[in-house]
Amino acid sequence: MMAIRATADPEYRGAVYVEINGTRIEDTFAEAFRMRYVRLVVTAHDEHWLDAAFTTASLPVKSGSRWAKPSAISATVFKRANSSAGGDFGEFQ
Amino acid sequence: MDGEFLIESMVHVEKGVGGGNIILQAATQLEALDAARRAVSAIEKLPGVITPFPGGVARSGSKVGSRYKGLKASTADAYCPSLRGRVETKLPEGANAAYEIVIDGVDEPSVAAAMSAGIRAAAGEGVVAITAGNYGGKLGKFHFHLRQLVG
Repeated sequence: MMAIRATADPEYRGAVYVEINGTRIEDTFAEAFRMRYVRLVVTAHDEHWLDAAFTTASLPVKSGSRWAKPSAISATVFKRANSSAGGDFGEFQ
Repeated sequence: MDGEFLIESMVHVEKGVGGGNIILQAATQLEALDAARRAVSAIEKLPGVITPFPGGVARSGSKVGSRYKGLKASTADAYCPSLRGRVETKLPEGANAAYEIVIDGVDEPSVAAAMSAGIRAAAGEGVVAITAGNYGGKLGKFHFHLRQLVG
């Protein structure tokens, strides 16, 4: 069960002290930026070659005048659940 | 040479939001890592976001600037427990380890939802405080206020 509590902050006059399950949530913000992304789907004969593709994709690539590095591979990966059935895909992870 | 290779003739590039983050500060390294794992696990269930660092966790977060002219970023030394006393620390009393979770997403609401889920999952015993990294608000277009995210 999550307990969120807001009381007067003893360290900062007039500020509110917020905590969740006893953890103090600081009165600040994350600063983020505009970026560009592309989603790619890679299919391979088996996991070995899929891994090889992922490893290669993780290498730096030239993007305009700068070098860019794909930041993550985060996709639902499928494999053929029954290779003889053809087209019947099950969730891999 | 070995046969057919199929590839789309075109892929589309979209605009997203990069660099959402939370910084978890705990009493011990193990408690910080447990909190980071809980946060990443909660975030990875959400659509439209990724945590780009290995395992979703940055153990050496960065700050803008360095002591070297050609190096634009360096380790966020204010969150390094072993440098306490040598540099101005941002770690609260009782915190001896910190991990950063960086979040990139397809849009602002997706990153906000992920940060909220990460904070709620990470908060708990041993986690002294949760903060976030910013540059004073002057560099990035998107500002995610932690207390609004959990309010």
